[in-house]
Amino acid sequence: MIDILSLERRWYRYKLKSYIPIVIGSTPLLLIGYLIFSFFMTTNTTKQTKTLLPIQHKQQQEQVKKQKNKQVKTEEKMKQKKEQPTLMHLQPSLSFLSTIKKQHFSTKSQQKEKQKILKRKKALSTPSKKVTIVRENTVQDLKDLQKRFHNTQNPALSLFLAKKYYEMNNFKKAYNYALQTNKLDPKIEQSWIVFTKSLFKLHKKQMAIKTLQEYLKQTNSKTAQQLLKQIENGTFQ
Amino acid sequence: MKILLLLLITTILFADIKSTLLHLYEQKKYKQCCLQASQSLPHYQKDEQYLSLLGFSCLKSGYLDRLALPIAHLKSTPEARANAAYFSLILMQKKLLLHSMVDKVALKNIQFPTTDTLLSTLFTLYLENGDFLHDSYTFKDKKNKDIIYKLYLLKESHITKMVLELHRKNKIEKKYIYW
Repeated sequence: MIDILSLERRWYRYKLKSYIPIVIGSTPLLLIGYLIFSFFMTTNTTKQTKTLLPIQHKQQQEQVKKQKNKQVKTEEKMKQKKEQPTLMHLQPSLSFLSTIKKQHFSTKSQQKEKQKILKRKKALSTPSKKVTIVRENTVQDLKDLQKRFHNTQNPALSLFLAKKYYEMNNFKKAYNYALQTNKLDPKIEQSWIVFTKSLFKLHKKQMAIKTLQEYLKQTNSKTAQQLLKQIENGTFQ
Repeated sequence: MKILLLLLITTILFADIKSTLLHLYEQKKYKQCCLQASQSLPHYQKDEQYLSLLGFSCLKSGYLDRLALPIAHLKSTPEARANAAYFSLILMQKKLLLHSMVDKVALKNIQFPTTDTLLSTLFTLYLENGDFLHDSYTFKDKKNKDIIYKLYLLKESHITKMVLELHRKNKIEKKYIYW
């Protein structure tokens, strides 16, 4: 007897096994087809949305596009910048010029000090030699000095002339030149002393005392105080 | 006494050379300063201030080859090393530019620092140009439209010289000749 049931079972198994290679071969094709289909489906949907979108959505998309373009441009610029690196700028140091100047001035001051020291040593080591200058023509010298004073109006010259004339007992001229020095520079003490002395010598004692008193109000000159005491006591001659 | 006098004389002399050189430099008499400093250089090879003064005066007067000794001896202080690097860069740029222009050597894939000298600006422009076959070049300044740079060879009987010019409003403002 033939076992039909077992034969049928065996036939079913054979059939199933025969279908396996077909299934294995067809699944990747189905997958590819599905992917292509899904890709096309998305493009179709976008097209449909474009046609259906109102004007506002279109404007928004245009703005988005512009922003994307800007981003692309900036990225390109960044790339260009990366490709062209900035050069390092090498700079020198010019501080040596100021140090040379400082050294130069310090050496100058040191030289001056050394020169002073040398001069002092020379003065101590060598005996002092007095040089006497003898003027023979004093009147001519004074005339020259007067001319120079009239040209320059230098109070030092007028003070010298006042003193000189006082020594020569020419009290009028001494008074005049002392007065002029006081006008030019009222701070010179010696001119006031010569002025008051010449006033006294010109027999104007009271005027001399008054000027000294006025001068002492403004200054605390010891010489002026002594002179005033001498005139008041009568010891000044 | 005699020793003191001798000391005074020597200090005066030493101070005077530097002060005279500084005076010349400040008066922009760079050539005179460079030549005078070069004559007395053997006595002051270790004086970095002297070397720096020599270097800058020779740089500004165009005697770049005299920078070799200052480059070698400026090394003990940061300022000295900065100046040595500055001088060496300028000298190297001059040598490279001359070699490239005369012998038509392409200077590719080179990146150097730059300085404020005419040589450095022309060197960078020459590299950016990328063309190393001609005997003369004209470049425009990127920032100032009035400025034009000219770089060309001057062929003489025994030597070829390189000329660098800066033109401002069609007038030559600076000109250097190197060989």
